[in-house]
Amino acid sequence: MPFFGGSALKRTGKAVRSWLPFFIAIPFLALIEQGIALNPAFRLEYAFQNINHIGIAIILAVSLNLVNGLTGQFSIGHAGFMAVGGYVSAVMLMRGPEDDPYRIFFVLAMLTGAMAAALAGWLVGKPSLRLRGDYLAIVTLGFGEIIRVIIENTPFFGGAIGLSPIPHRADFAWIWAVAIVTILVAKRLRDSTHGRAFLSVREDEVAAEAMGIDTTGYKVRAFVISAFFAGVAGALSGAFEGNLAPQSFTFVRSFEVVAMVVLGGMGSITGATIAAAVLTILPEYLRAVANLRMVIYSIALIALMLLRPRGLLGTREVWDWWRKRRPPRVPGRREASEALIDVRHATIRFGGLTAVCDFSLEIRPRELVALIGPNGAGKTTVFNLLTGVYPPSEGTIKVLGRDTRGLSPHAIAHLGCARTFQNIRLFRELTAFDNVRIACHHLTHESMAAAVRQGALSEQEEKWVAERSEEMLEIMGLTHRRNELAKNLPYGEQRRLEIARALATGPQALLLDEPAAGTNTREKTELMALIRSIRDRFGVAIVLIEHDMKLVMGVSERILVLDHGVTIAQGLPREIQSNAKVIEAYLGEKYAKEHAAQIAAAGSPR
Amino acid sequence: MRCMSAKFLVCMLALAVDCKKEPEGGGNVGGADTGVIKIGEVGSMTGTEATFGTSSDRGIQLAVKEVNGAGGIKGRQIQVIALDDEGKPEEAATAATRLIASEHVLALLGEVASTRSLFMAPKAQAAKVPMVSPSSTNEKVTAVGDYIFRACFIDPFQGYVMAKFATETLKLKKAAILRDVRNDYSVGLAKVFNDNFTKMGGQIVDNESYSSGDVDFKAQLTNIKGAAPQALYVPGYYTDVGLIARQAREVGLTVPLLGGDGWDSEKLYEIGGVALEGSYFSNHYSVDDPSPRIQEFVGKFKKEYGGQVPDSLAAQAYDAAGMLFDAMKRAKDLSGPSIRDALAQTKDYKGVTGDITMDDKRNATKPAVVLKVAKGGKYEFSGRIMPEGLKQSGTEAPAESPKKTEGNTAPNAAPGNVPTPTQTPAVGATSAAQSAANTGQPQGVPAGGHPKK
Repeated sequence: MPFFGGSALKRTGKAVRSWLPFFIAIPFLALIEQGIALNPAFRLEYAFQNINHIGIAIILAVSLNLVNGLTGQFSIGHAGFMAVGGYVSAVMLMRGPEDDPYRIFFVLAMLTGAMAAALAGWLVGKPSLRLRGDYLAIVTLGFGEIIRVIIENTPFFGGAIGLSPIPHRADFAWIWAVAIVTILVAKRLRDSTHGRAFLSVREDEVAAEAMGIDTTGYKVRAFVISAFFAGVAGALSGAFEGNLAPQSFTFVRSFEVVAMVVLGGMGSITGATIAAAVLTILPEYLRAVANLRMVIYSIALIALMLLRPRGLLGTREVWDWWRKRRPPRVPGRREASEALIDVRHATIRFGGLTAVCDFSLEIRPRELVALIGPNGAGKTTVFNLLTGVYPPSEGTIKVLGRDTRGLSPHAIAHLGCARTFQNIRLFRELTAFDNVRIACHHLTHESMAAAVRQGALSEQEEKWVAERSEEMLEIMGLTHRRNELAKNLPYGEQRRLEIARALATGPQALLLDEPAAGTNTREKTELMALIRSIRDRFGVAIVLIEHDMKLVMGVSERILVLDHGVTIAQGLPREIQSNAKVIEAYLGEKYAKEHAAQIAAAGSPR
Repeated sequence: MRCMSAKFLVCMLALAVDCKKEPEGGGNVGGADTGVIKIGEVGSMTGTEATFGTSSDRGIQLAVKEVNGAGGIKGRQIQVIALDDEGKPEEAATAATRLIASEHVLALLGEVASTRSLFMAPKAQAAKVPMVSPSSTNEKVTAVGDYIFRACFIDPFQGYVMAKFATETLKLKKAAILRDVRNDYSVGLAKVFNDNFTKMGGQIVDNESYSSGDVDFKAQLTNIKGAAPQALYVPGYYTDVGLIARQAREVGLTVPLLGGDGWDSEKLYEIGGVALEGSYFSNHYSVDDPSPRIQEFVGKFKKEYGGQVPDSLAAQAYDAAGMLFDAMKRAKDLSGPSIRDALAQTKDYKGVTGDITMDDKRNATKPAVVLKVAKGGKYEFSGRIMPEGLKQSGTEAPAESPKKTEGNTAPNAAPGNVPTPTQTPAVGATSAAQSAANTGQPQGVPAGGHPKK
């Protein structure tokens, strides 16, 4: 191939592969559609009516799965977005050209409807996704109903009787082509760093923020993409049935889609697809039993959920069964530069309680500092201040020279400040490997569109992320646990996985909140060595909250003691051990006596 | 796991394929000459509008029983295959497709709601299977194609009915109109009323408007009061009408209100209360109608269904089925086109809701009834109005024809009459908008006999 440079050839190959599913699918779809057109005396009409309804249900379920399954939010207004897309495109189609042989205008109308739905998604999602828990459910439910009532009362949209006749533009081939696109987009997003960001939001928002994931941003993105495809489904439905009526977009419709996502397994794309098909066909087959139909349907749904409480496929995917593992590669890493935390006179109050008072701390590069004090002294609160979980009531906090006021936790993580949690906050339902990969998210540059196209950059980055993650697991001695779910790891390994995850964000300062809690003496000794080696290898500064005095004294270069939010002492380990205030508040006389000799012997660590 | 999902896929495919390998027999073209004649029925047997579907179904089953008892059609028995659509538009389309493509029915009966009829109609039209809707009153339904018929009158006819009732029965000379500008149904009725009332020698002294959802109508009502009409025509929905009635009395406007079938809900009296007593509205049917045909039907229906009183949906469905059977008897054969032609030629079919004639737009021309809101919220039969051009004793004044409106309690309206709460549990709870949506009548007009009645 002399006329093609290797890379050009490679690029062409990539582009072809990116679109391959369509090249394969479209002739098939077109062929089948030709077949239906020849369909004598309506014989296949009923089968294809159902098959087309399945296609639309798949688009709805797979798109809602992005929000309810992958991102762990609870939206129950999908029918509202479907209505927006359906009506906008229908209004265009009804005023469009009589004949549209190449469906150019139809595609235009469909995309306009979808964009309108995406815009509605943005408007609804932007304010409400900042909130957690049930707010989104209530807001989306309200949104869906409002849209329906508006349509019902707007003559322009046909009012309660609906819009008809809408030019018949979509049939089997269109519906299924879009269904395939939806599945592909969802799959490729899920497999990318963005998909892992969605999952991290579902698993633990606080931890996700600490790992540098913009959780609100990702929730809004998932929501907008999901609304976009709901709009497409609405447009297809209108152009297929030739009618649109507000009665099609009640909250019952939204709940049917939610049922598909739940039944399929929250987060499983193939699960949602299969559930969409089953839940569309099941009532159709029960239609003949009239009154008992919905009873049987409900019982079947309950039975399925009892048999498989996590959905048909749980969080797994059909294609996981034949996917090959990526081969491990040589590690590559980012160099640490000057890292510094500078806290000046920080105070935080919760109501009348002053949790931390006039706290000042400076962390220099490669330093190993311990934060000790009795329970409730405010140690974890200091970490929360440093990572932006709470803004200080007074005082300033600078990370790498930048004032963190107004920065959200993920932005501070981007600056280079990573942490672990006292009460382990791993993404429990994800594998150890994925936990670490999520932490690499903010180091990647690929856009969502690129992820969907699966371009060259995506692939390189995916490789790089995988390599980096393998390396982190190896350093923490977790390579053998790579593919196990985080929740199934023993306690000590969960702690280590948290450290691996924090390290993967490429921090300048690493905040470890009681890394030795619940581990035995031997493990503690290993951990001590590990902490030192991390510092040496990555050149990070480490701040450690720990109760185990042996560990603290053995590893830290500087110790700061908090009691009731007040810094009562600061200095070298040796100085702290003999400090009267510290002995009184925390260490106790007994400790001082028992360790007097050892203190003298050990001196300062290095 | 893998095996399980594979099974699901196989299952799904099997389901889809299953629909294709229907038996060859029973093809609808020409209607093979023996065996039962299959007729499809689509209705909301479950869901929030279950009462609509079940009422219609009972009317149809009664008609089928009678025609089969009398020897069937062309020597063959009728079999009705009824499919539920749960009150969802797409399901109505699917059910119609299934009846046509898999069951090979020769004709379709349904739906009650205009919206769902509109989803079914393109399927019937494409397959050239005649479809008769018993009670979808929106004009668009039969406009879908020449295979789509209806057994009820369309909305604007009610404007004519009330104009005629006002001039001939109530002997009014001056009327005012208050219409809902956001609602095509209301605007349409108001226009037809206006034209006909004027033509019949009356005078419209004031023409006011509001938007559905408004809560304060006093400005318009005060203007109307100043114009001193003898009656006020308010062709809106019951929620607005209830409020309008109360506020009218508050501003001292005491004349009767007149309206259309949008009033037809047990909620009407709940909202408007005594302020509505003595008002009139047009509707499709009344069990109190003394006409022997109706009383005979009510008797048969009660006997068949354990004392249940037929509502207007049942009566209209009974007529739709009867009209279809009548056309099939007259048709030269049982092919779609032949049945269609016979249906189109329907003339003076003796239905229980009146003599039905098909006009050239495949809409039934037939009489309407006028009901009076009596003390306690009962609806009393007050008259029957024939369509223009059809003569048959213009307005048959019933036994107690209303002379005075205010406070005139009609003694015994037939028991079991209008508000039969037992019969309409689901519907009672709907709001105006919902109910408009649910029925999908013309901009939501309760098709003949909607929520409750």
